[in-house]
Amino acid sequence: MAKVREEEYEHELHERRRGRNLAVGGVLLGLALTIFAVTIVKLGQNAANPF
Amino acid sequence: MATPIHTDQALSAESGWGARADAPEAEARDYWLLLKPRVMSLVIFTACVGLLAAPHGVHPVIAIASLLCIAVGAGASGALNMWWDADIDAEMERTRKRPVPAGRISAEEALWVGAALSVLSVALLSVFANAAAAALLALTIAFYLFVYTMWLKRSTPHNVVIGGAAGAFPPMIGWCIATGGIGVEALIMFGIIFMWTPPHSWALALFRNDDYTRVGVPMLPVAAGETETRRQILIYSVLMAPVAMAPLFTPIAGPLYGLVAGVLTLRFLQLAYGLYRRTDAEAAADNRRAEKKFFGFSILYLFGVFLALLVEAVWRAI
Repeated sequence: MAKVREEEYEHELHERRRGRNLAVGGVLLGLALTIFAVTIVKLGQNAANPF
Repeated sequence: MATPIHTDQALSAESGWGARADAPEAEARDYWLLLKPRVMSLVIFTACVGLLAAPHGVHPVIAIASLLCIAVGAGASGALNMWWDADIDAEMERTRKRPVPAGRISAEEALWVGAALSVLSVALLSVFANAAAAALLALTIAFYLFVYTMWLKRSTPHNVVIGGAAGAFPPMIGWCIATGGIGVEALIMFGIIFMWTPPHSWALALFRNDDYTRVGVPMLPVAAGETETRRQILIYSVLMAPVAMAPLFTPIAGPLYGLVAGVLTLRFLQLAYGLYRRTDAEAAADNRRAEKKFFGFSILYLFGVFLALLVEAVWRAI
């Protein structure tokens, strides 16, 4: 009985951590893409107006 | 008898996040809730209106990235607020299920999440937009944390009057992203939210009075009684009305805004007057139905007024 409960906890624990890890990954990816996009735009603006 | 290895306590200890031992480990959703997404959505919306109403256009990518920074800054404020108010949030019906009082995230972790996101959002906004907008965002976060949350909230019934400034800054930040400064139009948008906040918050306090009484937060109904609160709601509503119509004297508003804001403001005043006329006995008899109605309408009001400004801005652009 205790072993079953232990396995359920293990499963739930891993589910929660997996969800958190995916969320952190998504946020970091979003951040990287945002910075990349802003860089391209700002470079483009400066390229159009170099002086 | 052998003790199971993975009790709830062991799981929380193993997680290393310092949450309450008897609470389940935090999910990604808990961190989302830590950022007060409903408040965040209003902040994004009003900042977006400020940005689009400004006379200078901004590249869409810069605009979206900057609005994301404002959203993250607002979320950081929410996390810092939950860190500081963890004790009273646990006692209030409205807030006890939040991730910190529920024990899924520790107050200390909320502090670090809030602090990290504050620094990140301000730093990125200064790079994406300009230093003035970043300074305004930093001011907003600091004002909400130090002035409202730490100082005013538990010390004076005028907490929401002055503290309301924190919620009023976003359209000004949006305007500043586009123009690099603050114009009279931005100040008027600030003024609308600033004057709207007290009636909105006091209406909530009227039907959540038990919560605030229990934790000793001196909201106006607790400190001055319900009758005085209804009177103050009417006074602030009357004071808000001319501010709400002030955009008509600037280039950001036209006939559509005049019509929408005029109708909504008249209804706002009508409902505020209805509250003022009620007695405590009448309010208690119908379970504060009119107060709840006023609170609900106040949200619709702010949304409607800013939506009208948004439509006007889009109309001018096309």
